[in-house]
Amino acid sequence: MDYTRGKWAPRTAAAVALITTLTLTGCGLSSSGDQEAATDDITLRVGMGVDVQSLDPPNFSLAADFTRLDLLYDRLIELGEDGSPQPSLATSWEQNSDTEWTFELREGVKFTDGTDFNAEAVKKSLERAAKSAQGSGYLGVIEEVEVVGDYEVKLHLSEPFSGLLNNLSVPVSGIVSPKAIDEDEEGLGSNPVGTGPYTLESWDPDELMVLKRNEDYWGEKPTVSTLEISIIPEASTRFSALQAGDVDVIENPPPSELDFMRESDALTELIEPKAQPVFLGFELEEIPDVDVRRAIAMAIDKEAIVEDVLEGVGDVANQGLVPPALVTQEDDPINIDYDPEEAKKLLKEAGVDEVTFDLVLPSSYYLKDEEVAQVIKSQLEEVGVTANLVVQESGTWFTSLLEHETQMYWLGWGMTAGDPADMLKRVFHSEAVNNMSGYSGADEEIEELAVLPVKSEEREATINEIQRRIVEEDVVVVPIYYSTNFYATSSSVEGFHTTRSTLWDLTEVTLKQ
Amino acid sequence: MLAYVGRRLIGLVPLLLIISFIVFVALEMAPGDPVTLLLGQNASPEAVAAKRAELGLDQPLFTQYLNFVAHAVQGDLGVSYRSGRAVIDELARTSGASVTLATTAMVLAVLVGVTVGIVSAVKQYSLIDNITRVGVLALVSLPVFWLAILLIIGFSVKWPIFPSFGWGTYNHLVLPAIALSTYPLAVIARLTRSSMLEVMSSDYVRTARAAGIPERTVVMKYALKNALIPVITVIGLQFGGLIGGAVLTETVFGIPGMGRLMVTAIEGRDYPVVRGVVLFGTIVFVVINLVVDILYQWVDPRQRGA
Repeated sequence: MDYTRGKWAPRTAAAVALITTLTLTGCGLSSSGDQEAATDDITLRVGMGVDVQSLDPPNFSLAADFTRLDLLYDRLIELGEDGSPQPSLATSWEQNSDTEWTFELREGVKFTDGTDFNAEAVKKSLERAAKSAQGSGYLGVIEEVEVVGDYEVKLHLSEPFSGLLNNLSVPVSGIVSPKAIDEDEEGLGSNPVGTGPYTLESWDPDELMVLKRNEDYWGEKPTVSTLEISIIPEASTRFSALQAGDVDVIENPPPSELDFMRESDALTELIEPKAQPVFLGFELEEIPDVDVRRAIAMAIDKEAIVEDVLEGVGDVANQGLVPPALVTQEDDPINIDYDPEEAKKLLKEAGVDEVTFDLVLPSSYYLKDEEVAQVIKSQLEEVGVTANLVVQESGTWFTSLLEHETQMYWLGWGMTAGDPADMLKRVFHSEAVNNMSGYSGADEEIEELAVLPVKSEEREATINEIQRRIVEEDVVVVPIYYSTNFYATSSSVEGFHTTRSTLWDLTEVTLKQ
Repeated sequence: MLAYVGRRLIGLVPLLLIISFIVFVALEMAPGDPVTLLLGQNASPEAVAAKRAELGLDQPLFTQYLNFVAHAVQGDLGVSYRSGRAVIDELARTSGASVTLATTAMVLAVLVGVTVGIVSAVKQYSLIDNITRVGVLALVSLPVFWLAILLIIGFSVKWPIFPSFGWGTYNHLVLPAIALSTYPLAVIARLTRSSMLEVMSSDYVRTARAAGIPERTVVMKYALKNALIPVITVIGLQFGGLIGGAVLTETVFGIPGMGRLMVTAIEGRDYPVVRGVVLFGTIVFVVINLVVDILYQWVDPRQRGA
């Protein structure tokens, strides 16, 4: 699996599976007619750690909200397996100029309240999202949505932005029924009306959400007909609930149970890549000497961290900051190799002897943050650098980073739109709010990305040039690992998958009895 | 009596004002910014500024406080920054589970704790007494979340008798109530025992015994009533703590109660919700204390008219 799992690859897979099943059944080799019977009426019970706050796309509050928004709302675009934009509610599109795009829309689609999906609906939804506080982070560049025909819109942008299609695929860009917006905009958070494969049946916040398959869905229907999403905040309880058979799938089981899961016949672990690097960053003003930063990078043994601390729930980040599937790979991997002897030499040459730096990290935000930081601390000690671990509650930690109250920091960056340019612009452009390092060495190239077409050779090369500079030359950050989606399922569940954008793929789920 | 209750409830008003002001100041001083947390990593500075103005967070602290009070007296505690739902509704949604859980746990703790305490005192230094004292020490020292996880592994996974998480049926209540009751149970048992021992050695009990009153009547009627006075105080205090303080139990068992509401709100710096939960907790605490005071008067005639 290469990139965000769209609904296309599974469709092919499902077709193959279907043909195989039919053939086998026809030959009398299999007695399993039950598999087809099961596809009609599958209830999947999922245990999640946190609940959604709002089901109104532009008012999402956590990226975790996207899993549910994705099921309720379609977007104009979806991402294919290779990360390329694929038709969804838009059937085709064309870039007229740097700042103008035309989209042809799908006809015959209805919202679940019976309203027709058309150009007016797109205008209303996207302009609303572009102006909303959260939505503007993705779509703020949209100045106007012009209705050209019933099923044709023109998007006018305030500045060139080649990542538009990617951002239109993010659940925040979900198209909402215009009637629902007019009648009860405030209520959209709990009464979602989209065109998606599911509708909301009931929702008790922090407790249980029940989604029913939209039987009139225009696209490929998921096999799961009822989805019961329970909120179980404590990882060990989620795991017990899975063992007890109270749920079929859980997110983030306790990593300490990995060995148990690997040996168990009743449970299966699911570790699939997602578009998120987790890295150690430097506050450049505090640690101005690039050789000191390079020495610290050389002192960190990433493989030991991923293998021993994360127990394989993550991939070693030795191919740059951008997870390798998201950008063309060059022959020479973007990385600073582990070399503690060279690190000591560098520090000696820099005239640094016994230094102490603060490392600010969240108490538990990514996987095992404190344990990972402890290992980094002990690795740095080997070369004579003392890391003073400052563990903060997640809200405090993020503010500390924004206010540059750090020397070294721990951060991950999820690329929900699947476009590395987006992360580079938000974290490494000198004017970016989230430029925690205070870096300004790649502004020109980062700005260039906005006009280069997505996936073009030139753009990929520029992305690599920028990340080589950030990681190897200027050593602004040390990528440690690429995150993975981590789920566990009971072994009766087959075909449950996640995408790089952390969404669920329910198009080929089957339940064995 | 009614006048007394009225006076006490009126006294609640300045208390609520002071507490809400303390919460305001504390939240202002706490690190972390609600707007950056709300809008996330992708928000533009303009969007952050606009949201701040929309939420009124750009106003001076005292103005914000006055606005809050002006709305609160009309029963409007504001709207959650995160979910957009009214704080009052959030409290209504979560308080049911919290009160039910706390009450069940408390009833369990009182029934078992008082019984164990009496038996232990009456049979001082017997085997039962020794077992009880060790048991009580163990229960006080048990971390609730650990016990909760053990209960789930034992009674949901190994022997699937009760559901492992969730809320809504009596079955869902059993394990969390047991987990939550252990600490107050131990405290009540220990206090009942020592209080009973003290009363049992007092003059009037000796006199009652000398008068030939059956031991059972002496213990249950004469001694117990006096011995319970300090126990009632502790029950009141523990109960108030349980309603807002069942965070760990609610989290481990996935119960949609106020403890979890509070923790999520603090993590997200959802100020209106934090204030709402604190005020609700204050009211509950005061009301429980009032009930305790009334109970005193019932148990101890000397307090009447005080």
